Amino acid sequence: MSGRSTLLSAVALLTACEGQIGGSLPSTSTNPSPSASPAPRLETCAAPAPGPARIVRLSAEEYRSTIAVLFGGRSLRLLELGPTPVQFTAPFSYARSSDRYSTYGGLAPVTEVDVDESWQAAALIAEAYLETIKERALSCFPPTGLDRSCLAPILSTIIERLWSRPAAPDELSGWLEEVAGSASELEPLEALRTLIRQLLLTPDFLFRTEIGGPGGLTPFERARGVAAALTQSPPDDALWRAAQSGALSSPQSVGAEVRRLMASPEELPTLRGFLNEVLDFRATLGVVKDPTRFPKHKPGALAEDTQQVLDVLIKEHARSGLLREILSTDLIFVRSATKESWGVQAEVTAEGVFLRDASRSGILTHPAWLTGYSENDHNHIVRRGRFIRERLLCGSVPSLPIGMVPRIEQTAGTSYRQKLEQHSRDPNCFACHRSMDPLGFAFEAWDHLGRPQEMDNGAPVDTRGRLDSLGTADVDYANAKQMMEHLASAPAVQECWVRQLFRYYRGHEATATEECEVKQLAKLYADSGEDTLAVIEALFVSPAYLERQGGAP
Amino acid sequence: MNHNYRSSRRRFLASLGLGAGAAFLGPIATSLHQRAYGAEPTRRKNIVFIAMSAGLPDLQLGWPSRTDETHWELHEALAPLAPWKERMLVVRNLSLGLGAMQHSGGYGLMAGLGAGDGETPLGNAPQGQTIDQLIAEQISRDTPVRSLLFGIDQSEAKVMHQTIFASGRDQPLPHPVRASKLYESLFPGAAENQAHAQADRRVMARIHRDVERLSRRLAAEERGRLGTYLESLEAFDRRRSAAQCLAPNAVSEARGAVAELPVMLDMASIALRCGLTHVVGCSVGCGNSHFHFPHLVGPHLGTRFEAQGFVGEHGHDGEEVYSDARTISFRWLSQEVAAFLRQLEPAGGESLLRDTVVVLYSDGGHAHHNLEEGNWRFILIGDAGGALQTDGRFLSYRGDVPWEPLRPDTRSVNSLWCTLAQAVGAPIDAFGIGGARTNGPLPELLS
Repeated sequence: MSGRSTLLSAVALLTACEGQIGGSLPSTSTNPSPSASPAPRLETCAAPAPGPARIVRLSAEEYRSTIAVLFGGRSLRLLELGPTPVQFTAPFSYARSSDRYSTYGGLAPVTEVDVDESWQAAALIAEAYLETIKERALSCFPPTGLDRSCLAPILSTIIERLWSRPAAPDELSGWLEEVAGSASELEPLEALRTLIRQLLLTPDFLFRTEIGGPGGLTPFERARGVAAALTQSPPDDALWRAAQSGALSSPQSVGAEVRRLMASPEELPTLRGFLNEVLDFRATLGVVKDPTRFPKHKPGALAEDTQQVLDVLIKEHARSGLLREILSTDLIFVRSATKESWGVQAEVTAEGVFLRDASRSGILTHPAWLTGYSENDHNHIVRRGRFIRERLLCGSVPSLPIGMVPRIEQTAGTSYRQKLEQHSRDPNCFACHRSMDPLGFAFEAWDHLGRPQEMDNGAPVDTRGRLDSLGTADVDYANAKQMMEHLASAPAVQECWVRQLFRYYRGHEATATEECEVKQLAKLYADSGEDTLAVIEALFVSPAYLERQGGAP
Repeated sequence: MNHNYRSSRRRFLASLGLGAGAAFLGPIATSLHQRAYGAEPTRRKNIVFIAMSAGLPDLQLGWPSRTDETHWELHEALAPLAPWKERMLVVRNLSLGLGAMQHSGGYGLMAGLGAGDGETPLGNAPQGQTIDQLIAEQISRDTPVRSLLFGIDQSEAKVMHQTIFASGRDQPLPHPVRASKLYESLFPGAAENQAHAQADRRVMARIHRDVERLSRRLAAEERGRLGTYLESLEAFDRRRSAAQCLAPNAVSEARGAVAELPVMLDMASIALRCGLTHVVGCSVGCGNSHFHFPHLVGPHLGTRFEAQGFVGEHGHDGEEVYSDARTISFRWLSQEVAAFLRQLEPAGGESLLRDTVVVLYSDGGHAHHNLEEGNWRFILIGDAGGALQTDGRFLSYRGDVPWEPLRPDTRSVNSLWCTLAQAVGAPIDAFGIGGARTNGPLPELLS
């Protein structure tokens, strides 16, 4: 299906769906998992309702890229948004422990930490930016008083670059009065410095507005929102011009811009970011392996190996079957520093090389992920199973009660799986473990460093397990390859993939009224030949995004 | 190994006492000054937390050079603190289960998280209020600065950081890691800050107006979210501007832990002497990640680290190197703490240390990963007005297993926090999430 026809299908689906839906796809399982946490059940699936008028706090990356635009101009291409002429700590890098994705920070409250960092950053940026305009701006302060017509274009440029919208005439005159007031108390240079700090701290900069008016979000709100969601940057030149010309008034025109921005999906920072977060393979960086015992373990290099493969998959499969490839690819990237972790015997260069390894089956069988979901010196079946349950099946597992820290000690000749199974038979533990452990056994084919293993602590490894809640009948699997094949084809996993996209790109959990939209997006994904980009596009042409209620223009 | 290194710091108080600074005291500060120096009937107690990153090994603690509770020798790493040995209390083998594999306890240590699940992102996000803030709510509630928090960081570009202090769950408290920023926030009334203060007021006023304008376009829930920006801004403003006290000369622009920590400790002593606060928290490179350990440039001279150009954390470089690094690092910190203690009881002046307890410890317990969780150790200096039995004691507990059931003789970090809170006038029976693993204050430490 072409991108164009996919878009039209998406628009049609999102505006005309009716029927019975449930929180999760129907399962023929005779023993449904108690851990599945179905979303609220709706009686009818109406067209997506307009979303609430709201404000969205900038992310640290948006902040940084906007400052790059302030200094460098909007004509910079995304990949050129490099370091700015000033060093500062971008605010809003702190993530709440309860946030599923970094993008949820957009709806987080602004804390005192955020204010502190914003305040410090504003001072540094103002100082540096002032240097670039000082001569011209100071000429606007003749002895007779502030020359407003001289300062207005300078001010307009700053506002447009920071706020991604032009200042309304009354706003511009208000800011000029602000400068005049400052100049009555402060030296001209200090007044200008104060002005830039104000512009960097006003909520018009620190928050994107999604308020709109009778016709939905304004063109500039659409441009800023789409650009931020897809590129973590302010609108580029083309998107800015589209907003200026009023060309973003229809869902189709927004869709066209979304497609343009996604034309090279491998360059899309948010798609990379999404995959980094949902697959969490960089967790390897936080798992410490004793360097004296495991000197060849290189977590940073392992993560980059996986990133190399993901970049290829994005480029080749973003329009068809990306999830399927992520779960099944035998493509690996190996370099001399990591070949031992991969169990590769062949000579490889320090720079690395792509290889095919039939024993691996998708990103979750890469050493980066396996080590990220391991302990210091042994595998972690439970965490791995929990990952599958929560990230791929969108189920949930209760957290351990405070005060409960089970430790499973291994004894010689007994595999970790065998010890875990003993523990999990405890009636107090069974309810949770049965929803995690059977999903984690498949990864016992590799040790805690990601290397192939046939024996664990003197006992043969056993990679068999059982999958449930797939949206089809429960199935037994013999090994990771079989498990991944089942998962890659499972309707529940595909719907979960769409739900994860929704969560990441919309920046929040689906509300009860948005469950309908998730169902429609899942259908779109299936009907479009598993087109991930079509789902992302649909998220931004939906009435739930483009239209708003509850705000005042 | 060369332990004769001395920093070339410039001490504020050596040349600028209260008398010299009195010209800068505003009415509030004058009143505070009077209260702090006897006009107030009851003497307030002070508590100072000084946490060093990445472990305080037994060797550097002095263990096992101990024959009984009162006969023990200070290791060379703590030798600069010898003048206070008889007012010192060392405790080791307190338990606290963090369930995390990071280099430090992060927020978990001071939030008294009794046990973790191995997955809790300790250090990344606070799970609850930290003990310094709980105490500050009680004993510093009417001071201009609720608690004076500061620290140092490896990155010389950073000006603020949040690592170990929190007012509640998901509410980390930022602290300056630049001496100049601490100075600016603590002494906004200084002459050189006046123009900045005027500009700051204009910035604040403008943001208030813009928030109000934007709020009018939003429904109640979103107005509330925007309101949090204003609330945070006001809290930030209060913290910056309320402290009108002494105005020492502006700090130098010298950067780095070795240059800046002494200056910040000097400012902390001024804050305590002026009654600006009763709670001080100092984070010497603490935090959750691998990247915040201070690089000490200066103390490395004449040591095995000279070629490297600094002393860092070195937890992965083998026991011998790690031990040497800890000795040098704690020797340096001990020197700075000793200078701070001298500021609290200047020769011929009134001793503020008499009403103070200084808590010196590591956010990583005994080692840079502290995986055993049963051997946290602390050095208390000062008896908080006689509330604590210090007297040069060295107590070594049996070492509890944090995940075993609580027993009557369990000795946990949370119980120590209760003890300290009680000693300084904020009595509590339990601390930590759900009061986890607390037997209440430790009676053997209290007078």
